[in-house]
Amino acid sequence: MTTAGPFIHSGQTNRKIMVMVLVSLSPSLVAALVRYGAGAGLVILSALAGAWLAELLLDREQAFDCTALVTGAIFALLLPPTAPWWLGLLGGAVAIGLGKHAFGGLGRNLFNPAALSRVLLMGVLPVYFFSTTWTIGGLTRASPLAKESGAIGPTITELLAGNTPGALGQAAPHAVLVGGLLLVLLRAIDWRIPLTYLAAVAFLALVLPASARIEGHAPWLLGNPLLHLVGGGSLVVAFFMLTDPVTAPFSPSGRIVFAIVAALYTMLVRFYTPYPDGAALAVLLANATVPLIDRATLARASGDAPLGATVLSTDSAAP
Amino acid sequence: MRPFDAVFLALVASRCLDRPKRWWLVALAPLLAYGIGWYEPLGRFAMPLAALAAVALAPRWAPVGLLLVLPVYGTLIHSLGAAATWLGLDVVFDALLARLDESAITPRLRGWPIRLAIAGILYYTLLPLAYL
Repeated sequence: MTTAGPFIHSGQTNRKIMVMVLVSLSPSLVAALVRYGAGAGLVILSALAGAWLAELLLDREQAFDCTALVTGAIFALLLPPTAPWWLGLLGGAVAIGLGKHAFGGLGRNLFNPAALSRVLLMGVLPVYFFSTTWTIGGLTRASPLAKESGAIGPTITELLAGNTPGALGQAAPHAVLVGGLLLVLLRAIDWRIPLTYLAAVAFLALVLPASARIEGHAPWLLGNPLLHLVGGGSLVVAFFMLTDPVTAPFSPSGRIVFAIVAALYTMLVRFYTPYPDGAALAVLLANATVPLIDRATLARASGDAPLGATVLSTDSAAP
Repeated sequence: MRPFDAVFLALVASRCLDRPKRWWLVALAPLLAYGIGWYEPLGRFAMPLAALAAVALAPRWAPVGLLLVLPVYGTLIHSLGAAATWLGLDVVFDALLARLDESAITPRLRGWPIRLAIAGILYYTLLPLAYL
């Protein structure tokens, strides 16, 4: 609670919100299916099945409130189109089993389950995630965020059309944007998080100094906010992952700080490490800082002194 | 061993021991290791001397200090980075454990298993920093 009572029920149920999120995810899923064909369809279906079966096994009652399907769909959007079907199945199950139920189930997880599954599988099975070139339909191209020598920078048209290799969620940036804006309009998510995250990513893309990894190899990564907004996982992360109410801070000011932390780590990874993208990693790091952010910002909301503040007595505060 | 790996091992080791009053002094261990290693006349005595200094910083957390002086810190920035990462991680890890609802966690995972899982998640999350 960030304010004092009384409270009235908004009429929203968990199932209703999850259905809204699923509807808003559907343009991105359909776009991936259209762009990459049956292979992508199999990956999406296996991720949904993995998540749902794990939920059914671990908590039969919750299996029908759609939360597992949302997790499975988001995880699918983080997978490359070349991923085998079993990776989707395994990832969906890991997201629900380890990301959600290991922490006590719905509402108790510390990390976003889809991001957690993606990052753990990336650590255990890097061969499926670390490819900087992708062969789809017989054509081999580099990821737009690749920093390797010989990579070619994408054009603006290619970026906006999603005509660049990457995860399924990058197949159509406009589809992610439509779904995300739908969630904002339906008030299912707090607009502050995506707005702050995307603005901070764009700002950092303009001001961060170049690193030896970028200079001479991938100069198009510098001073190119559009590339960093649509070229990696930024849009999916901004609208569908950082906005998860369980793993985001409670207060509006806390959410702004949270989004800035995520943007900082995303860009740090993209600019200064060999990793092509750090958006999913940034979600986990931002999640890890939530207890600290809440401690600093909720104290203010509940009338307690914020961390490090001097408490004035009522006498000294009186005129 | 990379400084990054040492920081995480030290984080886990610190959870097996009682926290000393001046626990934060352990963060100086990487700086001491770098400083002593940098002073060439010490030669082969540098490592044992750094180990002794790390133990002296916080005797109750001697294993933690020793783990932090084990890696070779190439530059002052690397040792500063390890110290800052250690301090930051310690605070973040404690805050995460405080938020954890242990009573809701299945008994098999309660306690050490879930704590190790959180440390593992943080390890993979921050792994790119090892390449900075």
